Amino acid sequence: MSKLCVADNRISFIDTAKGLGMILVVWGHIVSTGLLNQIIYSFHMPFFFFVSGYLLQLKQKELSYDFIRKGVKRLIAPYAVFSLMYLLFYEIPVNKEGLVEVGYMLYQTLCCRGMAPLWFLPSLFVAEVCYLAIKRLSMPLQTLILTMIAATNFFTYKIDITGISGLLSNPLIFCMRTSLCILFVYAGGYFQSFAKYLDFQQREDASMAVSVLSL
Amino acid sequence: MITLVVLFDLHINLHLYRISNLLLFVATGLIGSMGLLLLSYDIQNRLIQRIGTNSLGVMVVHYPFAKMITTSGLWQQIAYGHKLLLSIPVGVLLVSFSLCATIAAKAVIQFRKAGEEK
Repeated sequence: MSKLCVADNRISFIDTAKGLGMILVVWGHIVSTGLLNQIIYSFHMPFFFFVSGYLLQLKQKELSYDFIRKGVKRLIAPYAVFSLMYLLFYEIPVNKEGLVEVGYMLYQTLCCRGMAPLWFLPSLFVAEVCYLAIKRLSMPLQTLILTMIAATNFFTYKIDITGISGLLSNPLIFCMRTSLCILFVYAGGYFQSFAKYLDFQQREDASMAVSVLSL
Repeated sequence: MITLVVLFDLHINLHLYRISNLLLFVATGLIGSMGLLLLSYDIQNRLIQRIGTNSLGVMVVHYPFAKMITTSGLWQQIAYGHKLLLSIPVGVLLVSFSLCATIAAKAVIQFRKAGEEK
């Protein structure tokens, strides 16, 4: 079976990669502390943004009304539905602090800060849209915007946003987190445009090199 | 990458935007992502592919159960000192359960759609 085999418009090695990533996510949630948790958390979520950028570049996606409509259906609708289900079936029965806390969680959901692990969905949607919007610009402008995003993150990441103010911190967390995710989506797209020139042997070598680098 | 995480005691929570070292996080994020993507090119496993196809469902279903298990007193008692070892069978069980639940939910939705079309 070809690794780029497309069944139901799916690419098999991307599904394998997402499967491996998901196994790491579950494992990371079970091993909630310690070195293994630190290692998994250092790349498991950026990986999904990276893959998303890779796929957008591979499928030559363009920013359009249709893309946004499909994105809302694919990411924002599940976010809304599952957030409501989490609130009704998980947070309300477990929560002992009453309706005020539940109301605050609803506010967090509306701000797209989201409950774990649903925060990923709105961040991915916005990061994908921003990536495609940035890609339409000229190269110097792309570089400028990406540098600005990186610089903003670099100079603000030490600030404890959760300590600012309850109401203000939630949208701020979403904005800062998503801006960082745009960089990973962009890196994934860039990696795809580079990787398509590699033949099988070079890909094997690159795989070996990255594995050695990882260890 | 592992050395970097150990040396600099890297702690990341992207959900809450708590990052102990941004530059290192970007570096480990990129190296890890590229490594996993290149690694997956050499792996042919239908089960892992299935998990990848249903990744959204697995992500949504597993979390409340993982949280319940890891915060329970029983887990703290049983797993004390053996968390790493016990996390493997528990992880396999959780992934399997989440995958089955997702596939079942998808089947029900398809079945209802087919019924509506008829």
